[in-house]
Amino acid sequence: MSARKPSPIAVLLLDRFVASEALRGDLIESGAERSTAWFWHQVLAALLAQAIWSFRTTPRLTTESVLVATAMLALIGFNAVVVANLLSQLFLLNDGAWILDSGRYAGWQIYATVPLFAIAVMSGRAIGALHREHRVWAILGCGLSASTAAFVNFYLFVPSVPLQPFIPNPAQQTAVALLFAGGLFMGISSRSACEPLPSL
Amino acid sequence: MILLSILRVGDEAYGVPIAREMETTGDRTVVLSAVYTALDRLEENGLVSSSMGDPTPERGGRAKRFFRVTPTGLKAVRQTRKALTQLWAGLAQLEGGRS
Repeated sequence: MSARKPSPIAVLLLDRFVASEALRGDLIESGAERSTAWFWHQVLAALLAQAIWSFRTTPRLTTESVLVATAMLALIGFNAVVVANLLSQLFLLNDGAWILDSGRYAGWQIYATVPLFAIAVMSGRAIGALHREHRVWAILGCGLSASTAAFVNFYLFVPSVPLQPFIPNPAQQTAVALLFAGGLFMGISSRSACEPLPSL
Repeated sequence: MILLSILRVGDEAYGVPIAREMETTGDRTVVLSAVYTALDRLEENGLVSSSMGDPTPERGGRAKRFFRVTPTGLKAVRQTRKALTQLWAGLAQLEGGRS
């Protein structure tokens, strides 16, 4: 049987969230000989086991970390949505009437979350590679990517954005932007020494 | 079962061959993270000891963790075998290989 390369996303998740180096190595070694389904099953089980272990050993710290990380990503996501909304208003002011045609794929937003997350991870990896030593550029790159993604998201999935209330479906749009920001940081932290934006 | 698998694998007992041994003898899929959870508990109780090996390229530079059954672990295995043999003896339902 020829050796297969395991999914890079699964390997990334393992490296970011599973503490045991030996377990990570064992999974990657076994993954080369087993099916993709088997590998993902093992990776998800390892992530779950790590989460349970973290909550058991340091419950307060883990809970605080999860809450702070979620709040931080939600804040960044909300900022991106606000910027995207302002951009759409700006386009309309400058005769960008095409923005009125937005929302052609309304109803498909839920299906776009997986490719959106993958794009976010790849963008994060690119930012991490380009700006390994320059935190300010990495922060600006993250902000620009998140705002662009939020704008594209508006254009594709939200009908007539500029004619709607200031932010249409704010919770839903923030959740999507939060997902993007999470993917972005996962990507950037896999390549870069930069910390994920505590100063924003 | 994990202790016996480590003993059967021998000196090269790390996660992959231990899990493979359990799958082969137990005829079921084994979750590696569950094996590690059990191994950590066994190590806390002094039944196994572990040592880190060198990083290898096929594992993306990640090191292996080798396990060995301690004398206390061996004693526990023998005691368990004795207890199981005693429990097994004289059970009419289990005679003749029928369920």
